[in-house]
Amino acid sequence: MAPTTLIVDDHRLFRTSARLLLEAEGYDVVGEAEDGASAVAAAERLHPDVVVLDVQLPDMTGFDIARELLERRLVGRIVLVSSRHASEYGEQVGDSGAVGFIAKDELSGAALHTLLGSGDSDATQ
Amino acid sequence: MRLSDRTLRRLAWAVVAWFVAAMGIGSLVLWGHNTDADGTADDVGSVLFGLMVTLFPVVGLLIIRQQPRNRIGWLLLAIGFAWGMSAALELYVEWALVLHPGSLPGGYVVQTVASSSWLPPIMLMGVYLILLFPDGRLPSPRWRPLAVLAAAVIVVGTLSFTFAPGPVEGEVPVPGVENPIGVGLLDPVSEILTGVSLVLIPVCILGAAWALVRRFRRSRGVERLQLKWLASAGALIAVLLSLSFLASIPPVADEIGESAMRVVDTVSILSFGLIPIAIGIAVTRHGLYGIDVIISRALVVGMLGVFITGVYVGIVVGVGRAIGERQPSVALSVVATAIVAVAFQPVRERVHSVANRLVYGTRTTPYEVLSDFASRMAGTYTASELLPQLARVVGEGVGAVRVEVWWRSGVRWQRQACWPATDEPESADAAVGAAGDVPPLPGDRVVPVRHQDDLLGLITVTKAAGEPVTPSDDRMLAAVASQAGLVLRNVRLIDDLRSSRERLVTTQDDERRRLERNLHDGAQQSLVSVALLTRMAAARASDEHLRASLTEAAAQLQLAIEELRELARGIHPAILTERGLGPALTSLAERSAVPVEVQNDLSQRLPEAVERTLYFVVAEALTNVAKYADASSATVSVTCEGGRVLLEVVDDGAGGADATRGSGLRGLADRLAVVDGSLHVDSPPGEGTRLSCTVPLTSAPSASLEPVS
Repeated sequence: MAPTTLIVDDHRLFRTSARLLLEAEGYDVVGEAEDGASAVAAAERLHPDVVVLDVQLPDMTGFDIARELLERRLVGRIVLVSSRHASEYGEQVGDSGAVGFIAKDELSGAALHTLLGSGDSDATQ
Repeated sequence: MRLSDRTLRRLAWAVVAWFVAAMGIGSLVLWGHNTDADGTADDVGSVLFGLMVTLFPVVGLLIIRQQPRNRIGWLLLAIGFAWGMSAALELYVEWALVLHPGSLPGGYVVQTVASSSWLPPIMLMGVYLILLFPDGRLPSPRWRPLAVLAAAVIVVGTLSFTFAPGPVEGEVPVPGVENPIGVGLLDPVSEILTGVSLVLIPVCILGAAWALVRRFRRSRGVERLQLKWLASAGALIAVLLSLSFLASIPPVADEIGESAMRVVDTVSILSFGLIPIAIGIAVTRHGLYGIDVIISRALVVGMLGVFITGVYVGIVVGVGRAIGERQPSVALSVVATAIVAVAFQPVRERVHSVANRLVYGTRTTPYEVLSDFASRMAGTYTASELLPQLARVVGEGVGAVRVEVWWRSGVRWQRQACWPATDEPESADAAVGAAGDVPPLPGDRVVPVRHQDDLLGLITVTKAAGEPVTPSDDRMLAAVASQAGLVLRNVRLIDDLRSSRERLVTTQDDERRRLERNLHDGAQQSLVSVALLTRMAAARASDEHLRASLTEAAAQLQLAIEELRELARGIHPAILTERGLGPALTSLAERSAVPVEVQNDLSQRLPEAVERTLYFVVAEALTNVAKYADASSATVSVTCEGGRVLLEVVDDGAGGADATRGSGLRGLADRLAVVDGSLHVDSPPGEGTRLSCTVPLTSAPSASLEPVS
């Protein structure tokens, strides 16, 4: 079964493209959220396997959301995305508990798959 | 019974009339008959003495006209009355015994009384006037015994002189006539009583002088000013009396001759007239003249006089005697004159500073205040340095306990500096007023500082309780304020410039951040989404050509996104805002064409303006390293010590960078100046380049003064 996926980004156009892309590559996109609060709410409701999480959201940073979601065990794994380069964020990515970072323009099922790696079996539960 | 002011004034007039009549008629009648003990006529001396004494009742009258119940005024009049009485008695004696013998009765009785008539006025002048000045009361009850003793001396002295048995003594030589009212019983004690009285006179005078010193020491305010007048007159008299004494010692007297001695004597007698004059000024118009200046000048003149006389007498007389010359030697006179001429200037300066210290104490003299102020202002340009200095200069100059400098910003007044420095916040707001009005602030004086008609600031001066602001204080404040007006105007302009540059840089930084944010949120997001969709479309396209086109489009989009990302980062690095200077520098180093090592010792975030400035300094420096230095590696180090951030960018390249050329480094220096930082470039040819800058962390970027509205 395809991993259930939640896409969190404040840009509608990106959410739409990411959904099309990921669905085309076998992910089951179960929901979208446009800010931190609705992301937490959606995670509580959906318990997705994977969260594609934008770093910069209107109400809080992706790092803080990631920590909260993981601490409360609401989601499986988190992949951070941003249109900026990873080097702009330094070690924050690692500290947040996310499995990795993908520049938005490099987002693909394959890239996601690589990051999720061995955990894929979890994601497909 | 309480006399009316009018009656009191009439009484004062009557006393003066009595004095003038007695003295005047006496002088006219006795002209040509006055003889000294040695028989020489001394008409001029007695007339001068009369004129000097006249000043006492006259000043008394002037005081009583203004203040009919002034005790010192009445004391002066009493002195006049007593001298008048003495003159009248002498006139009677001369008339009855010398001019028209037998025409008036009781000549010898009156002569006996007259022989001690100098005692009351002398004691009034020498003891009571000094003891009771300036308020007509004893300094404290502890001085009552002195007053009683002086009264006893007057009474006992007068009685023992008057009733002593034996030959009549007095001005008129009448040998062999027994005192007609002599009391035989007094015979054994009268001489003792007379002797004791004579000894007690100087004792009482010295006691009164000591009382004056004590009173002066603990005096405050107006009383202190009044005492200064009397004290300075006293000091001058003391100097003149010393000169007179010096002139009277035999070798000196021989040298300077009879007439010179007379002049010195006359001047020193006349100088007693300074006492009533000083008292008159002290009582009626002490607020009008700067006594401090007068005293200090009088001291200088007096001490110089003593110096010159001393040198001259010492050399011409002393040395002359030693080498056995009888007549004053011309050579010695020349030597003395030469020594005085050579030593005059240094001695004058020394005497001047001694006089100033005596008068002003640890206070700076007004002249020093002004020149000190001018030289300080020359090297100071920021309000945060200048205003406290202004407060200090004024405080030390006028001996204030507190000085505040207020600054006008718009229609509000703000306290910008305080002296002495206190823990309370430097700034405080004061009442709003119309822009040109001086607001009611606490203080003995509120001095406006203006430039042309523009009211820039205020200096408030508070002196110790009871300590008045003297006329010379006022003149000094006015002088400082007028100098400060021009200087503060310049400071305000410089401050305006500073803060406008600060605003420009801040605005520019904010603008850059906004631009980066817009690029990131707008164009970049759209491009990213389009790139994703294009790539997906390419993956799905079954048509070979279509797929190739879409793949190419996706690749071009990818390039555009990369370029845009770099552009945005150059405009403003998000990592700097989010993660601080250290991570931002690391990120910068990672993308540098030349290998860069970052040594970051900062443990905390720095003020935003400082972080931005240092980041751009490093960005510019690394760009230069990559472009021009031909370096193989570079090091960026940041440390924080002693409230300052030190940043260095060092490369091992060709060196020879010129800080004055090119707009890059100049721009960095300007940016650094906004945060009070400094930039230093050390770049000897062939030895690499070391760019270092320092930024203080405590800097509240200058006491920012609002521009003049």
